Parts: sequence; C-alpha cells; structure tokens
Amino acid sequence: MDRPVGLLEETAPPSEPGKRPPQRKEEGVWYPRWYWPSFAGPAFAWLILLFILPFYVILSVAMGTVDPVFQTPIPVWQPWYWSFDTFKEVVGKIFGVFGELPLYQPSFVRTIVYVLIASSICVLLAYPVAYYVARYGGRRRTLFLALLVAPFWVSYLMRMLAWTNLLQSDGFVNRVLGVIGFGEYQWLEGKSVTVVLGLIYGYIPYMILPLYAGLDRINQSLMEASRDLGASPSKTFWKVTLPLSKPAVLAGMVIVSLPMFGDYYTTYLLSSRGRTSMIGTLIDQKVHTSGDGPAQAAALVMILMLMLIPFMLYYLRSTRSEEI
Amino acid sequence: MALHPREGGRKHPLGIGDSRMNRRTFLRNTGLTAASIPLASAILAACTKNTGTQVGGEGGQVLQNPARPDNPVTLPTEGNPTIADGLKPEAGPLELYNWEEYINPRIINMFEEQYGVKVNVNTFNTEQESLATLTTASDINYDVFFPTTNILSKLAVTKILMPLNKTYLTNLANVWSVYQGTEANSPFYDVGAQYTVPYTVYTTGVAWRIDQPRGSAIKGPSADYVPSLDNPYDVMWDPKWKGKTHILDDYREVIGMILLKNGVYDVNTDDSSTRTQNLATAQQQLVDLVNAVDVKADVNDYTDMPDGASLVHQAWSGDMVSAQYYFPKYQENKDVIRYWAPTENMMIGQDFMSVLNTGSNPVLAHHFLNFMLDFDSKDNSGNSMVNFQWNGYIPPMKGVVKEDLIKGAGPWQTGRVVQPSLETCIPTEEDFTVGHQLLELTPEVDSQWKDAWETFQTTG
Repeated sequence: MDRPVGLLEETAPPSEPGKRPPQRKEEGVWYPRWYWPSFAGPAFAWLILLFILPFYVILSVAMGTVDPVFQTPIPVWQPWYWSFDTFKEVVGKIFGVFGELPLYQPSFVRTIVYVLIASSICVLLAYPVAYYVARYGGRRRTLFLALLVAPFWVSYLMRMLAWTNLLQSDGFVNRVLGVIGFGEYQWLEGKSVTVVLGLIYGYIPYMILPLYAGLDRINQSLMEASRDLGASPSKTFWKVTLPLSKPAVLAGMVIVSLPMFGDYYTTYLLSSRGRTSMIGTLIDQKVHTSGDGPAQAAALVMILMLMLIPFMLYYLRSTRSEEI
Repeated sequence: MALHPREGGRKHPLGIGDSRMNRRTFLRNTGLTAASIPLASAILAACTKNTGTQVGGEGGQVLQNPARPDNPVTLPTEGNPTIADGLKPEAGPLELYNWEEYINPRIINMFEEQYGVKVNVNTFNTEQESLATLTTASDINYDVFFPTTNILSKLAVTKILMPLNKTYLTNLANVWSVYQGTEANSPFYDVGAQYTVPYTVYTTGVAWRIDQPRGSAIKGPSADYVPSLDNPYDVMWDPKWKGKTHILDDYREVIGMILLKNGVYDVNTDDSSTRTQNLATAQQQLVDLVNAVDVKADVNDYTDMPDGASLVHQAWSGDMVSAQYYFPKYQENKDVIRYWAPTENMMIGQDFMSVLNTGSNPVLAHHFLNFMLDFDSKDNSGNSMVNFQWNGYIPPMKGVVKEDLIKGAGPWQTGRVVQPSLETCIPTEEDFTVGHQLLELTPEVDSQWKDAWETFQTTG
C-alpha cells in the first residue's frame, strides 16, 4: 500500500499492538499528539492565571465573610462554605426584592441607558469616518489611520482631565457657546449629557478601528456588481455595504460597550454626583467601604458579568453566521 | 448524507453549537472541573493569611465597649512587649505608612540627614485601605503608622501596634498634658498614652469664598454672612450656591455635621433610643442637600476652595490653612477664604503616630516619633512646626502662640503661616473640652451610618 513516508517514521519505533500510532501530517512529517495543542498553552495559562483565577477570587470574596474585628473582607475559598447573603442583598438592592429598597436600581438603569446612547452615537460618528478612510483614503490611508490611533497615545485619564478644564464655567466650550449666543452651561455639575459625551469621546477610537477593518475587507466587486445591476449609490450602501459591515459594527459595539459598562472614572471626573453614578461607581464606592462593602463590590462585579453574558452570546451568534 | 458547511461541517472555535460533545465527554469535563475546585481552593486557602481575627478577654471587652470620654480605655499590652531602654537606632530604611500628602518632605530630609538613614513614605487614601494592608498583606515592613481614634483599639488589641517605650520620647513633654498619659491626665481612648503620641489636631467646619473666583458665575457668601446666620450650617443647604457647594466625602464627618446642625451632640449616636430617628433625619437632610444645591462629595477642600471649584465647602481646618499654597497663579488676593466652626460643640479630632510591630526598625521608629515632637516654645520653632508649615495641621504643642503663627514670628518661617482671617483654623487645648469627637462605632451601629450614607451616594 502506498503511503507517504515521514521523517519521524524512519526513526520512530513501530507502534505496539493496542497503542495508537503517532499522528502524521499528509506532507509526511510526524508530530506527537501534544504538538499542535501545545501552541495554545500560553493563551491557556494566561486565561487561567489572569481571568479564571481572579474570577474565582472575586466569587470567593462575594460569597465570603467579614473579619469580626477589622470589618475587612475574608474570602471563603471552599464553595461548600459559601454564603449567598451578600449576593442576595445586592440583588435585592437592584430589583427592590428580599425586603431591600432598590437603591442600586437607578445606577443600573442609568448605566444601561448611558452605554446604549454613547455606543450608538459612537457608531453614528465613527461609521462615516471609517467608511471614508476605507473607501476613499487612497494614498493618505496610513496618515488617516495614524491620526485615528493618535488619541491612544494620551492616557484616558489625561484626556478626561483635559475635558474638565475645557468644560469649566469659563472654559473654552462655554466661551465658544457665548460667542454664538448661548448662555453659560454648568457642564461639570452633575449633568448626564457631560458624562455621555465623555464616554463617547473616550471610547470612539475603539469603534473606528474595527469599523475600518470591516469596511476595508468588503469586496469592492460586490458593490460594483450592485451598481452594474442598477442600484443607486444609496441603495448599494443600504443593501450591500451596511449588511456586510454588520459584524464590524457589532464588534465595535462590543469593544466600546464592555469597558463603558465598568467605567467609573468618566463620571467621577466629569460629574462626581450621585445622580450620574454608574455601576462602576457603585463598585468603586463599595470597595472603599468597610464591613460587607468589598463583598458587595465583588457581587456587583459578578452581576455585571452575568448581565453581559447575553450580550456576548448575541454577538458570537451574530458574527458566527455573518462573518465577512 | 453530505452536510453543507453551514449545516455542520464548520466548527466554531469556541465549540459553541458543537453537537459532537457526547455524554462521556460532558461527564469527563464536568468531573475534571469539579475535581479542580477543591484543589484550587486548597491552594488559595494555603496562601491566605487572614482567616478572621479572634480577640477575647481584655481586648474583646475593649472592642465591645469603645472608648468614650466617660468610658476611658486602657489598651492591653499583655503579650505585646515594647523595646528595651537605651538601644541604638537601627540602620533603616525607616518605613512610614501615612495618609497621602500629610507629611512635609522637608522634615523627611531633615530626619534622614540627622540619623543618616533612608526614610520611605508609603501612603494610603482611606482608613479602610490601610486596615486591609496591615491585616492581610504578609510582606509589609512598615515601622510607623498614623492612626485615628476610629481604629486605634483594634490595632492595639490585635498587637499590630507596639506599645511605646517613653524613655525614647523625651520630647513628649512638649505636647499638651492630656497627650502625655500621666496619672493625672490621660487621653480617654488610650489611658497612659501607651500606644500613641499626637501628630495633629483639627476641627471640621464650613469654609467659603468671599469673592467671585474666575470662572464662577456667582459670588460666594460675604465674610460675615455665615457667622451671622442663626444656624451657620444652613449655608450648606442654601440654593444660592447651587452647584458650588461641596461636602467631605466621609460619611462620619458629613452625618456628624448634620447631627450638630440639628443640635444633636451625641455625634457617635451612642444613645440607642434616639439613634434610628437621628440617622433617619440625617439621611433625609442629605437627600435635601442634593436637591437643594447639587452637592458634590470630595476630600479636595484644600484645592477646591482656592481654585474656585467650590464656594462653600465642608472642610477640615488644616486644609484651609494649607489652601493658600494652591491658589492659581493669577489669584493676587489670597485672603479670600473664611472658615467657621462653632466655638462650642464643634467637631474636633486628632491624628496620632504609633509604632508598628510589622517593622524591623522599632528603635529608629521611636526616634522618629521623638523627632516629630520637637518644639521650642521660645520662638514657636522645631520640627513639629516645620511640618505644620507645610500641611497646615497644627501639632498640639504646649506654648504655641496663636498670634505668632498669624504674624509670622519665628525663625522657622519666612512668611506668615496662617492668614489672620483664618485664625479659627487653629484649635486649642480648651476646644477639646467643649468639642465632640467622632469615635469608634460597633459594627452594628457603623452599619446604620453607612446605610444612611448609601442613600445619599446612590440617589443623588
């Protein structure tokens, strides 16, 4: 029987009866079974050390207890000793059940609304930019991309601090508004619009880049075919370009929404009022509180993650069937 | 039957929708996961230091009955030895664990030069953070800590603090007699001053700008406006300064202020018969405060006032003294901040210096405490005053002449330390006899305070 002869086969001992022979590649080179899976080792280790283990620690704190003297959190590592009291309390404060007032509900609702508005506006603003660069950037595409990435060179904190100066009562924004006939607006005194604008400004580069990548990968001939078949430019956009860029839009939405859900420093720097507090603000406040505060913070983190699971599943399902 | 790739020929990289996981694979994976949890939890448990502090006997009694002026507490020292007399200071480096921006870098340099050692300043932002570090971190080597009465007894009964050997503290004679821990006069929270020497004293009151800072659409209250009010605390709720009124981001200070505003001088809510009602009233007034002035909570009173971010701010007295260093360059007139605290029934407090058992330089730590207590009453000079010159918090030294601080006398300074208009920022020994201190609460009472504060934090 003709079959490829591999390098390993020449030196490897013949397989014993009952034992599986080593895998072989069609080119004739033999590899042990662990060879290709081992390439996933670093990523696997990274996932365990920096995601699964911290996740378990957070869970252990949320389900843990409190030091009777110092009122500091004590994680309980064994799941069979876990207490669900803190979790129950937090759920109660979100939904107003289990005898709790819905104290956390406004922050949850606010966060969802802020993120939906901010990420939607990010799409509306980023799409034309990404579209232009991808389709009409031409020789200047690299320059445009460099300019788009430029905000990443300045830290998010510094960019938000810059906005606190621009939005002061006598800041640049109010001076411009004054010139065009609008009155002074107190941007930094607990205004939702300021926080949403901050979120948009802070995260919009993360939206432009995946959109650009998605739009750039759309096959130009599909659009040409659409035009050849009589579709107008706008119809081509709505019927061809936009549907094909849906995975990129979804990817961009995920990339900007996930950090927005956990964001707390945007509202802290641009408002610092309870009326604009977000889930991240609650977590930050609870971490710095004694007693069961840190456990509540951990429970809030868990609930936030649970809340995002349907979102992620929708994204995975959508991208799975509509990959470009 | 051949499958179309869309129907099953493609596998998702994450295995989603993979129908080929049979029962055996599922059971195997579940079993492996279940087996790994006890292993992981055992490893994590072995790496954990803190499994819950247990304190019984004398220490337990102290914790159950926190110190009050009418319940002085002698903190236990049994099984917690101090250092012997006459030892030479260690070679360092000396590790300080202090609040951020709370010690003059110059004084650190002076100590380093005098003792020929390196000093490292490690900082924390909240008391909770410091407790978490001191109780759970296994690799800390801090020598000197700066506690408050809130956590003092906990640290002492758990032997995190080391009792002081006063033979090294010759400058202790400089401080107010109440802090010396003599038989006749002793602090009620640490009878005999076994664990603490004073660092600073301060009051909590109301600060306001009397001008219209650049960038502000409105002017602050006039200089005599706040003291002239029937209840000067009411200025915090006055909608005239909406958006420009800030409170301290500290639930004890804010609720304590509201209690005082309401004429409740039981600022630690020790009276269980009125506690719930008093806290409920305070909670409602916090909500009113939000509705009236869009109040903002922060601990930046020393920068908010000079840069005009706030026109009215609940403030610590020491921060208002040091605020003069934080004015913008364009501000020529720096005498525009006023501070009010009642002359009686004010909120008053002190911070301490203590030696930690976690450190490896206990003798050097004692020398540092003594160094910081240095004071010469002849001309208001000494290391303690060098520190005051920078952080604005006055050390409780006998013989400090308030007028000299205002006029600028003394060789340790080139200019005036305290603006004449901020004379109210210098508490005196007598103030402690008529003021109220925020003291340690039991966990149950503390929880009630936090519930009231949480309403403010989340409903704003």
